[in-house]
Amino acid sequence: MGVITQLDLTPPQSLPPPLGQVVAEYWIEGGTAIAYPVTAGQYIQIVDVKGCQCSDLVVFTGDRHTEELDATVTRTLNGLSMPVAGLHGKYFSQQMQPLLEVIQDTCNRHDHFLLACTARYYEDLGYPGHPSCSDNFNQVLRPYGIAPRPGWSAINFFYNTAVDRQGAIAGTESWSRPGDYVLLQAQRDLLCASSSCADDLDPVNGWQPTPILIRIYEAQQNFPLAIGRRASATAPLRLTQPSAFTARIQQLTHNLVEYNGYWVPNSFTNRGVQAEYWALRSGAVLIDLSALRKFDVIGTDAFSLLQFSFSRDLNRLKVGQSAYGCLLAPHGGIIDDGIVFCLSATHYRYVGNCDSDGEWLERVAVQSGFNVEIQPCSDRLHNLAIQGPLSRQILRSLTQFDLHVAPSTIDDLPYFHFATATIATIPVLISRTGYTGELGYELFIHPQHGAALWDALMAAGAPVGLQPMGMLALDRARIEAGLLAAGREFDDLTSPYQAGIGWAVALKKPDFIGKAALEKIRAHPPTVTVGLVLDGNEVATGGQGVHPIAERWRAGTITSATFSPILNRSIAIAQIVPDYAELGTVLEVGWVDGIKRRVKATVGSLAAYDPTKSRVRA
Amino acid sequence: MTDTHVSLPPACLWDIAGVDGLQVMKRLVGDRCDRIAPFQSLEAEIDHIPCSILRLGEANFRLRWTGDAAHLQTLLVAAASHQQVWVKQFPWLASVRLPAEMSVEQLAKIAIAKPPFSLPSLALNCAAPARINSLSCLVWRHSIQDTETIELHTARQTLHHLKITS
Repeated sequence: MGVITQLDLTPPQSLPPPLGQVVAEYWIEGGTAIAYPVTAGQYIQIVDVKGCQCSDLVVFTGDRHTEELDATVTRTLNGLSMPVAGLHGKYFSQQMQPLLEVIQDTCNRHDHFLLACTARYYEDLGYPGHPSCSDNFNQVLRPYGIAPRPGWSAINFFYNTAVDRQGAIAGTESWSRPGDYVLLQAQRDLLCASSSCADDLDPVNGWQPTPILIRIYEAQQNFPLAIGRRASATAPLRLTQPSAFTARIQQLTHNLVEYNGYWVPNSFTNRGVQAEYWALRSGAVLIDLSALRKFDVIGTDAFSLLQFSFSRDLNRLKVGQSAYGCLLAPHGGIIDDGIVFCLSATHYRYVGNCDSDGEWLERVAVQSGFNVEIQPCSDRLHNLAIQGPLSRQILRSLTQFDLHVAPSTIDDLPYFHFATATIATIPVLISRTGYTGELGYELFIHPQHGAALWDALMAAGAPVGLQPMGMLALDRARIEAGLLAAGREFDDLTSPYQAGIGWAVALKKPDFIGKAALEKIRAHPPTVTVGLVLDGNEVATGGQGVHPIAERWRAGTITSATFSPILNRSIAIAQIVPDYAELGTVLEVGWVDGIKRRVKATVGSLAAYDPTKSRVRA
Repeated sequence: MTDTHVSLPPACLWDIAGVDGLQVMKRLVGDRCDRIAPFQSLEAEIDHIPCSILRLGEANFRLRWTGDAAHLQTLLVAAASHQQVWVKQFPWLASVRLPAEMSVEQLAKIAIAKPPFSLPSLALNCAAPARINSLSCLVWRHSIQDTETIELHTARQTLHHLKITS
């Protein structure tokens, strides 16, 4: 066991606390490597102690360690450049057998393409004899009878590489911060070797190799699958969470993915995207949208802050009303889209997509001297959408509105209005809003009532075929309805006039963030958002070019696309220059390299389905 | 042990795929084809002859046909006219029907479905890619002429390894 270095140092104070009962710890000094055994079921935590330090890992199993982890097999079987916690989270051997599963990852940026660093790499840079991870592996693996190699194919954790459009692979400073870690579970008895990368010649390890800590946890532990993300430079690490409805959803599907910090269903077992989609269009569905972020804006200047930060004019927004719009950057870009709810003259709620929205509102409030408090309330408000033409019918018998609020029944709740009520005695805030292009409601509740609300709605909706709906069907529905998705139709470099929501900008307001920029952009937006109906049945993908007929050059880009079952047509949302945005204009979508093949597409309304919004207003 | 699996005639499986695969199937059996997701199936009639249709992708379908092959071929050629699809019968694909007394729960004891599929919860008119030891198969639970059936599609060359016994 001479090759195994048991941790005999007093851990620095900066070490993150163990995740559970530790059965072994190994300390890898900067620029060195160790080998260590792990038995099936045990967990391996690889901790970047000081941050910005790569740690390469090679893994063996089987008699005489002849079976080993294979990066190419792993990429191929997962359909991903690297496994991520969840459905596609396993590392495979060349025999296509799982060796490791990613359980948690707080960095989310690793290399799976390049070798562990080699002597050749350093020689070519003019440093013959420089220590390398591959040579270090050769040394620690020799006692196990593993023949040396000039370069080891490895999982290079915390190594930040990317392949650009020309195919060049560039490595640069690691994303990892002090204490970032990867938690893996062994699927077989394994021999592992881990390094602290020896590269001190460039930024990949911050020019200075630092230690890596390996912790082994017993197989009996039960660590939840999670991906760690940080919303901003100062925000704490946030691990993927279940929503109030996840326990019920997991009884109906294993097809969950991480979305915006929550586990959400892609589709449901034995139902599938088509059935879920048609249930929405002809009946009713339940959608877990708890991943939305909620912030209460409270204080005498609550209105003033939002009037200054949000694109819509909130002057006419009465208590019980809500408005869709966006938070704006000074240059007119969309920081986020969302809905403002007016709960009282001094209490508003912003519901958007990003944890950082709260920080932004806070900063604007401080800079402008507004007397207001921003209270994040995402953890105490999870939301379930019930959408579809039968959604009102299902809610009708279950809903009891509070006596002091305006609507007496669900039939009296207008579009973009909300009220407090009980559903099957569960306190809820019912908002007549949605993201599907159908009549629908969003139900905000305390997470403790999640299972009860789910059960009550499913029971009440069963006679009319209420079904749960996943993200795949939701995406199809929202594209049909011409509804925007963050990262697809807009980002902070896209103005509302480009994103197709110019109507949500109240330029008549005396002053608001981005007003000056938007006044200029409005006159000459570089692109506008339109709907396209494609000839043929092929479905485009985001990023494909849109060209004038027979022209080499582009007039726009596809942002989202799907096949519309109800229209039986291939449709898309695209951002194109205004000269080609007139309804009925025929353009071409470039396929393959944009030149090899073109498919004609006709400019239509942004919403291909129900463009007059008659269904949501029904 | 008695080998009791029933080998179905290979000629009754037809695969249809291509950009216009969904439209061809809609021509053949109507809009119901787009009410099912990949790895789901439906029972239908083509020209009054019962058949089972398994969707394998957005534009990929497999058809179990018990009627005259030449007749189906005529219908398929007509439906596929001016459409970008191929219609094939794979000589390397075999189909076996499990004994009627074998349940999907029993099959789940020896077969592992590829996640997120799950065999114990595989519903009627659904399919799942799975492995029995190292043998790859597609498990399809559906009805053949009103008789609930578990059908396995596997490579012909490995068919002899598949010994389902009661």
